[in-house]
Amino acid sequence: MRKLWIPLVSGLLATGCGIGTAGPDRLDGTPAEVTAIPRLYWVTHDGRLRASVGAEYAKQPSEPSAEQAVRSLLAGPTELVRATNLDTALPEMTAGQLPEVTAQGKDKGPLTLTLPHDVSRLSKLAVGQLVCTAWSAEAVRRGDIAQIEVTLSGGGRRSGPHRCADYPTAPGPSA
Amino acid sequence: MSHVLLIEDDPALRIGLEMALRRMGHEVAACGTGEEGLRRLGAGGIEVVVLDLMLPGMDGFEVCRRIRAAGPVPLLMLTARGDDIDVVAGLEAGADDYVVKPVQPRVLSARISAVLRRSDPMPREHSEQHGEVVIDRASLVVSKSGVEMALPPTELRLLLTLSATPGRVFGREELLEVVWGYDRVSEHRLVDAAVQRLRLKIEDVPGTPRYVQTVRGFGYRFGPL
Amino acid sequence: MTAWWGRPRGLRARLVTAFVLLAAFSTTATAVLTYRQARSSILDRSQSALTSDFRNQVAALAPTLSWPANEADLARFMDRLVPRTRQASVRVVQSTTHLAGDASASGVPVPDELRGRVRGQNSYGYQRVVDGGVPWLVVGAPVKVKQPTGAKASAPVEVYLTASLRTEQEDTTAVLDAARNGALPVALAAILLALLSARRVLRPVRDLGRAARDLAEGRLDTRVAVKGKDELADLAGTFNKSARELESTVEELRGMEAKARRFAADVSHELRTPLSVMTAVTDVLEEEAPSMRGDAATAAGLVGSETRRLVRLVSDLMEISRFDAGAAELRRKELDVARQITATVQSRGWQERVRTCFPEGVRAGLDPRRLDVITANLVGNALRHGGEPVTVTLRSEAEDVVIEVADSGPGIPGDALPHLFDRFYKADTARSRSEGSGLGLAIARENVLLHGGELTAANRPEGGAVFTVRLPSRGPEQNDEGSRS
Repeated sequence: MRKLWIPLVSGLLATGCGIGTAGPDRLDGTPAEVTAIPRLYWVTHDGRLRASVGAEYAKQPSEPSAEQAVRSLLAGPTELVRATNLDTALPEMTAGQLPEVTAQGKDKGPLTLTLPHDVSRLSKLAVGQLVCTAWSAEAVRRGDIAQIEVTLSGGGRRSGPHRCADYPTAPGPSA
Repeated sequence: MSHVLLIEDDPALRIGLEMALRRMGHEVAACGTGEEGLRRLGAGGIEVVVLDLMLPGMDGFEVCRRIRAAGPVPLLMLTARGDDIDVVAGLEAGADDYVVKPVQPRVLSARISAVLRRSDPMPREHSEQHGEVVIDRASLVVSKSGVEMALPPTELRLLLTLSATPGRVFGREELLEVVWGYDRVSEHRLVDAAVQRLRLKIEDVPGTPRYVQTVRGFGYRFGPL
Repeated sequence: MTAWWGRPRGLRARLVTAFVLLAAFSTTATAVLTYRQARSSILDRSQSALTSDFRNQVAALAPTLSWPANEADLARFMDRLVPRTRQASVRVVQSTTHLAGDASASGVPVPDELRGRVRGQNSYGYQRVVDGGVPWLVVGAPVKVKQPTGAKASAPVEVYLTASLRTEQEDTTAVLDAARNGALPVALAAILLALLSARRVLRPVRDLGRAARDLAEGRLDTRVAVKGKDELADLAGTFNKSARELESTVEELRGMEAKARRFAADVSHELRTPLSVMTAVTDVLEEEAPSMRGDAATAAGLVGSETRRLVRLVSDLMEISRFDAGAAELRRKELDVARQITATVQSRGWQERVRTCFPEGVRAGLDPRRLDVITANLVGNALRHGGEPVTVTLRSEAEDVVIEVADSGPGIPGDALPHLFDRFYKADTARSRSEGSGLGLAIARENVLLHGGELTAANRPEGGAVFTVRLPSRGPEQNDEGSRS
């Protein structure tokens, strides 16, 4: 009779536990992938920023840089971009007027964008476009999409630091 | 000495007892059955009956009862055993005393004499009245409410003894000694049966006796009325 | 009979306990197994659904996520991953950077072990944690970031789903509760069934026990009802058979005893009549003996004396046989002991030869006829075998009446003392032709024993023998003064 008590008691104890901890266990499956592509940020009709894929960048596997990205941005939306109901808040510039954009900061830390015009006269969305575009490209380059503080400098004025997260965004295109 | 009626069915014993009693001076009338005995009793002259309970034909107790009904003649039983229930039944039927067979003739004779002595008058001249009962000691007549009662000797002697000193308690041994003889002191049945028979005759309500009263643990007494 | 836990228990208790334990064990075992199974299936199903859904979703949605993803991208991504059917939240993490998702939404941080597996081994994984009594499932999915050439390698992005398993826990608890709730009625039912079964088994046992007791107390007509065909029915049948045999044996013995008694009574009766005749006529023979010639006179004398002896012997034999048959009855009457003894002595004419010393007022409830027999036998014996004067003393001691019969003779020889009360024992062979039948003392002793008393014999220091009779003054139910009022 004595021998029966042990499984009895242990059985009783076991039932009192409820659902316990478990794992970690492996789950089969191939990990997904995302492709990092620096994106240009344009403006939607409802006043939000939205990324598009810069056609040039999609094709050219060159080292991404914030300068390149901003220069592309400043070149204005292409027909493709306009076709997706996107616009720009930045003043248009002709190819010849493409400014120098310098970005400082390496791997970590804030970015400073030097532009040829008075940055204080840029609208909020325009600032946002610049900040987000610069961040996007820099994030790709750094391999880290943590927010970057971008300071704009130009025309004797400074603006910033800004972060892309501060601006209303709309989800980007499904690449 | 006395005229004895012997009722005994066994012929050898009848002859033997008749012979023994005759030699002791008794006059003996011997009968072999109860019917014969009753007829002889009816013819008169019998002073005492000796009856064997074991009789063919009419049952011994029945004979006893009929003899008793016929009159207060002294009646002795002959029984086979002394502690039989038959003895008690016989006493209740009215026998004065009993002897156990085999009995020595002189013992039987002594019992006969003893029972006859009970009929002797006691030395007193006048008659006494106790309640409804009147006792004449000289003539040995007892009457209740004016009616004369024929008491057999045992009951008569018992009543006379008790009423001689009313209120006095008599122990059974004493009564046995006085009425039945000093050798019968151990026979308590005799006195109890006689008392019962007496009560049936003189008491108004035999269940609640006035005249012959029981004193528990001691015996009997006459009255107080 | 004790069980293993050391306390003495009856059969019923043992049966019931065994039953209840068995029921308890089986219900518990069943409940446990059922619960575990239920828990596994409930849990497994939910978990496997959650993990595979999450993995598939991540695998499907990740490619549609534009990278680097802005707030809105991540929000939309996470939104699509959160299951609607339960409390859950998604987090997106890259290295130590918390990219998105409210850390405090679920209150459960992603466990390090899981992060280790997801990030370190670059594989999907899941882990279950318990927080505040609620289990949570944390599923992790790694997302590789493919960098363009020239860019630095990016740490993988980890997406975590924290889903509450509260519903599953509630479901399994419900199963457990059901099992637990069922346990009590089951236990009660088990006890009830056990009691019923025990009763079914025990009732015949108890009946049998009671019948055995009844039988032992003398009710030989006790029988047990035989129900069914099992071992108990067999036992009942055997019992009945034994009882029947016992009853019939006892009947037989009783019958034999009754026959013996009847025979003794018949013999007595048959003997009495010829003896009565002989007794009646031997007196005559003895009277005529002087006038008979020579041998006839001697013959007549012998016939007389032997007849007397024969009568005494037959009476004594009948008396003794009545005691042997157990037919002797005691009839107690309230009497004056001294008076009775005196009457006994006087009625046999011994008053000159016997000295008496009696206090007044010694009363007792004894059988007068038997007292007479006892006294007569002892005094007669003392006069015959002892020597005069014979002294009889009486005294009352506590609940008893003590009568002593002492003689001034030579006393009882030592070798005779133990056999004194044996039947037909004659201490002095020279006196074998004495008047006694050899049964006198035996009869006296039987009469004393019938009263519940004792009779002893001893030699007095001053010479002579003394017989001591001790009788209880009263019987257990005192029957005084006969049955007449």
